[in-house]
Amino acid sequence: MRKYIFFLSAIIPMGLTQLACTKVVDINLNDAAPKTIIEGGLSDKLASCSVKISKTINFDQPNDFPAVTGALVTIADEFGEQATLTETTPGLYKADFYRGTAGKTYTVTVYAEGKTYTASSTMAYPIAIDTLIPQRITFDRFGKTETLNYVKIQYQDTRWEENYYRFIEKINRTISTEIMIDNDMLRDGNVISQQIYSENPPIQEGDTITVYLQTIQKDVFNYFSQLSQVTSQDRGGQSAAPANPTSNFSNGALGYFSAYSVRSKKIIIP
Amino acid sequence: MYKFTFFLSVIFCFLSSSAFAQGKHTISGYVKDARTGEELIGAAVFVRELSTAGTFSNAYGFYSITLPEGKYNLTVQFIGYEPLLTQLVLKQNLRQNFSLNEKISELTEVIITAEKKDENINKVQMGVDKMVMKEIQNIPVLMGEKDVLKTLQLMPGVKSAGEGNSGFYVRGGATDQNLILLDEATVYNASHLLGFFSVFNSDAIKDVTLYKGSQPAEYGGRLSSVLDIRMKDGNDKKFGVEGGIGIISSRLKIEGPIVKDKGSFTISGRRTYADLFLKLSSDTLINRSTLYFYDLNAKANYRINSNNRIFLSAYFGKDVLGLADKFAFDWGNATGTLRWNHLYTDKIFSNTSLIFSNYQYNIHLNFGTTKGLIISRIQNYNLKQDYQYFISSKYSLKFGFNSLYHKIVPGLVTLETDNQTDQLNLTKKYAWENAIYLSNEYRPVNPLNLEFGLRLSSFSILGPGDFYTYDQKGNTTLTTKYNSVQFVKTYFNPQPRISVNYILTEKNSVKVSYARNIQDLHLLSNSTSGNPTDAWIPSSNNVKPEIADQVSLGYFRNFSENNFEFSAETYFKYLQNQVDFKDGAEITLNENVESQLLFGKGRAYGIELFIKKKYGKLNGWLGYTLAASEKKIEGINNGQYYKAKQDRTHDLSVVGIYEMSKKWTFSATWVYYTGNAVTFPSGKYYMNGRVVNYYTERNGYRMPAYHRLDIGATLQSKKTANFESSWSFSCYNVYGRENAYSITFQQDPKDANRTQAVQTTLFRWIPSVTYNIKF
Repeated sequence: MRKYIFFLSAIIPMGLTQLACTKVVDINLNDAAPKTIIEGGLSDKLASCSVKISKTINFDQPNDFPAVTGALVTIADEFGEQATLTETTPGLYKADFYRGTAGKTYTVTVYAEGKTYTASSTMAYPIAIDTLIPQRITFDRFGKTETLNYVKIQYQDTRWEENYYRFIEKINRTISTEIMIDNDMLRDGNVISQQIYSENPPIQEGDTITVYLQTIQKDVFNYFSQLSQVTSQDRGGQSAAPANPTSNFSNGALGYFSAYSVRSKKIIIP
Repeated sequence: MYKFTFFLSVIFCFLSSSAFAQGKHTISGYVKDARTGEELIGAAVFVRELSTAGTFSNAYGFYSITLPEGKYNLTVQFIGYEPLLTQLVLKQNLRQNFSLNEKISELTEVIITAEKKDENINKVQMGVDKMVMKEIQNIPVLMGEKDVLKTLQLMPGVKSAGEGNSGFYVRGGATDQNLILLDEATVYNASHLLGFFSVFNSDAIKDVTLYKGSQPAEYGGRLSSVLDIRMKDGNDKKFGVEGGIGIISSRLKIEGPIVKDKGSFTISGRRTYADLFLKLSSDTLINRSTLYFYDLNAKANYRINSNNRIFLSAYFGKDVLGLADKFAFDWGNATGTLRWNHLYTDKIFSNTSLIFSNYQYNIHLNFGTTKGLIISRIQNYNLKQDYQYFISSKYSLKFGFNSLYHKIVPGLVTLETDNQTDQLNLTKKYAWENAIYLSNEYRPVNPLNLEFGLRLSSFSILGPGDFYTYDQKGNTTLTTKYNSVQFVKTYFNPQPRISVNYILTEKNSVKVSYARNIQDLHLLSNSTSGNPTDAWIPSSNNVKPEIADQVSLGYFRNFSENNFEFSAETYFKYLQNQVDFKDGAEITLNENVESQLLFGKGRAYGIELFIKKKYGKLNGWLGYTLAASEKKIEGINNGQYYKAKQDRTHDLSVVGIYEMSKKWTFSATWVYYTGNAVTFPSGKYYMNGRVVNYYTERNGYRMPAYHRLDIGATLQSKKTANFESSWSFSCYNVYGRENAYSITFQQDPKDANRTQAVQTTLFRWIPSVTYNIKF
């Protein structure tokens, strides 16, 4: 559902910009005090518990984002089962033997540069992927015939509850950075068919495609929904009131912590 | 209802004491165009012998003056017409219609000393812009389509909502705070083709008046302004055809008498054919696409007898945008008005209107196995009764009532995937709005004019439907079910209005006004320019009526034999229950959209300077506004005042029209304004494998300043008694200024390690030519 709404709001400005011309301009943007960014995840699989800590930089600087090193990062469930994450590379903290269980609530605590940030997330129950179906369309683009390969995912939604999904697509060994999320609005309890598009890199015949189906929490879904509006790669700033996605961390840290269940399936494009 | 009847009888008792004073007689009638028989709105009728006695014809061309017995010289005049002088002896009540002749050209104008040109000094109302269609004709606009909304944007205090946009901001108010009326029917979306054209075909329009916040008590419903547009009635003397052929659109109008001098009709249509150019594309998706709009205006009227007249008018317009068979999107307004004018006596004029308006959009999607349909609609049914009582030459009264029923279908979504159909039906909204008003125009002593009144309105939200209560985080805490026609919540709001004009000398005057306005329908627009899918929501248990209190002060002066008109107006507006979005709000087709909103207060203030040269070969005006518009809402910008999107510090327009000869007229307009307040990133960070913009405050930045020069020329190629033809040439943005339509922040395509700001410009040098005929 969400995708079509997005399509609708995108098509109108798109039509305009077809007629228009663009140029790179120099905008004098203010410098902002660096802010802590935390990206944390835990699934029901091993080696999934990771927390990445970095900082904001000014817009005109090159994309070298400073890692926050030497932080104390812990994870605990509601019954007190706890682990301390170790820094494997600068700014990346992991606890490879800590694994989540669906239904439990997990809390991450980060102590970095004299401040403490916490976030909690309840792990949703997993949903299996029934099938992955390869799809191919050819279309005419400015007189040239182009082919687009993609896959369609099918899974059974759980009835009587609001479900939120995130899809991760791996093309051979590359994980797509495309934000692909969906919910079961209008399709509660149905077998959901969903096309997965990730244009970069383009999918060729013979490629191995892996799709991960994450069941996520509403606040994480909202986070990614808002994130896709402000990602600079997607021409962020089209919205009238762009803002930082709402973080579930306390004490002003931006980012998210998501406890999710995940199932996956693999296919080779014929 | 009982209250209202009581109210009426009090008024009548009060009036009858003064109304039948001895030795006084009434002269009344209509002011008309001599050639077409169209009534003229706002024509001045005044008595030379008595400096205080005078009136203006009302929205139906009716005037009435009561004077002591005697011999009088009357002057009747209207902009663009030859003034008419009559001498009459008043011994009994007199019915007298006046027919004015159009001025052939400003060139032939002879200065008539009797002509009163200082209307701006004498009229009580302030913050009013009146557009004469003749004036609009020569002003160059985008793609050569003369357009009332675009021309209004050249007046001080009225600002364009963006490049080529027919949306406008009045005195720091958002675009949804303007009540746009076409023959009294609300027009919810006045834009065609995403704003490049307004829905008002200028062939069909007689009169345009904009009240910038201190409107008389007969109007209500929006905070910033009322734009009252009246359609032409049609020629009741002879049949006529008028038309124009342009590069992207054509128009045609037919008018004529139903019964000569008793009734007439007019039908005008317009259609664009921009999509013809799409056919030239080699892309099969684009060349099978559609993009056009059309408008149809129709009106008929019939004079049953000298005291009764009926009117029926209708408007229908639609935009269609289609992408081959994949996507179809259409939207448009439909309005209808049935009116009955009745004269109870020579002094009491009544109008009863039954009004309908509708705005809707439909979206069809077709992606092979997935099909979708989205329907959304807003409607109202309106009964409006207005009385106008011309009591004496010093005192007149307007009063009446208004009852509106609103129905909103926020969204009905049907989605069909692999033969499975699902529906989302957002709760429909129903509301009943009522108002009574009383407005007095009083001239107690010579230099003082007063207009004061009160509008009392109620807005009731009705069932059926689910109504939600939310906690601070926006989660639903309570859902209450209401049945059909059950009252959910009613808001009562008295709205006092007062305007005072003190005439210092013949040449200058000071005006002061105060007005309170209420708004119960709120538009949620998440884009800078406004989309056809923007949703209207009514006040509810969560959303309170928006309130604006405006105080304004103005100084008006005429120079050199009234050739120049100057005015300076300042205003301050205090706003309550203002609506804005939470950070990252989800407003599209969201049942719980009210949980995505925040409420607070606002303020807007500014000064407007205006100088106009009204007569001569070279005429035109210069308008300048210095203004600010801010909001303070808990949850946005840490609860501090922030700039509203429509905050514009400077806004300057210069308009010049030069009538070189009877054949050629040249014109030019230049506009300059400060860029809108916008939110830009102040930094960036890395998240989920991508670079993300980091924001520190709402609307903390500015778009670059906007400026543009347009030029136009009109060639009157042929003019005989039965046939007229002309060419209009224009060029939009002559010096090709690359004005910013939007600025986005993205990854540098050449260097993935860098980010950049990219500006999108819509139009540079748009020339156009139109051929017009009339016979």
